[in-house]
Amino acid sequence: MENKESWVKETLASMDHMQQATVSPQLQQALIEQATSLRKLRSIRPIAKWAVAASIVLLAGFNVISVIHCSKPTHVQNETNPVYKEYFSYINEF
Amino acid sequence: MNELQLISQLKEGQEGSFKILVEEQSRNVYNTALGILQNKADAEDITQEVFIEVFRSIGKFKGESKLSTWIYRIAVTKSLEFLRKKNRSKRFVLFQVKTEDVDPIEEIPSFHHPGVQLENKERAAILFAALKKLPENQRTAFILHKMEDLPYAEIATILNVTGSAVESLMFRAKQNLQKLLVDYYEKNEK
Repeated sequence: MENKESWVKETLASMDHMQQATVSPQLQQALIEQATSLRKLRSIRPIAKWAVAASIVLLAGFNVISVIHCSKPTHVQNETNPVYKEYFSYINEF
Repeated sequence: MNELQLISQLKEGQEGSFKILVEEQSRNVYNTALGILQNKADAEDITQEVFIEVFRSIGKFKGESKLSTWIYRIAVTKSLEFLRKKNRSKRFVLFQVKTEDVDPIEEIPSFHHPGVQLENKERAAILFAALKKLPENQRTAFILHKMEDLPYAEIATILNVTGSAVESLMFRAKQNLQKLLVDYYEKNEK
């Protein structure tokens, strides 16, 4: 009985004064590299965001300009066209 | 460099600050994960995941707690998530009928923590096996207190509970461990 109690007590105390496990140099290096690549990605991201936004605005702008330009009425003065005049000249006779 | 300076440098994304953070905190993160998961490879994977999360969300850190406390919280959350996933996939493989609140300790404890003193190696392995059987909040509180040497107040902040809740978690953890160890002793007739 005494044996059991002391064994339990000692087993519970076996974690006391335990040292922290060391992190392997490979893991530490991997963590630093990971941080560096994430940092680079973070610094690229805002530039990329602005570039995409600017290109969308430009594209939309070109579209608007081309729509405005193409929808202008083409003032083809059919009446002044000689072929037209000649072809429909009989109408005027009536 | 003090903590506030380090945090502001991390938020600005200054290169050296990440290295300092890894050097200062990787041990705590790795040891917390190792204590909870009891597997070196899993603990290394979780340590990497924790630091990715830290680097991604450092901008959201408001400084309401210590930086180390915030990192401990991420480490605990990630480790427990990993453990739940692992246990869920195990449950698909094996259906276990639970007859007791706490399952008995496995026959041959397999995990040996590298930081345990040589003369305590065998006993600590049994204690680690017993820890595995505890409910996760009791296990986490016990590991943070015994392995990481954290005070109850800090554990309370990490687990988002009150100080008295941590005290009761520790009390129940010790009680359950005692029961488990008595069972183990009787089975193996030391």
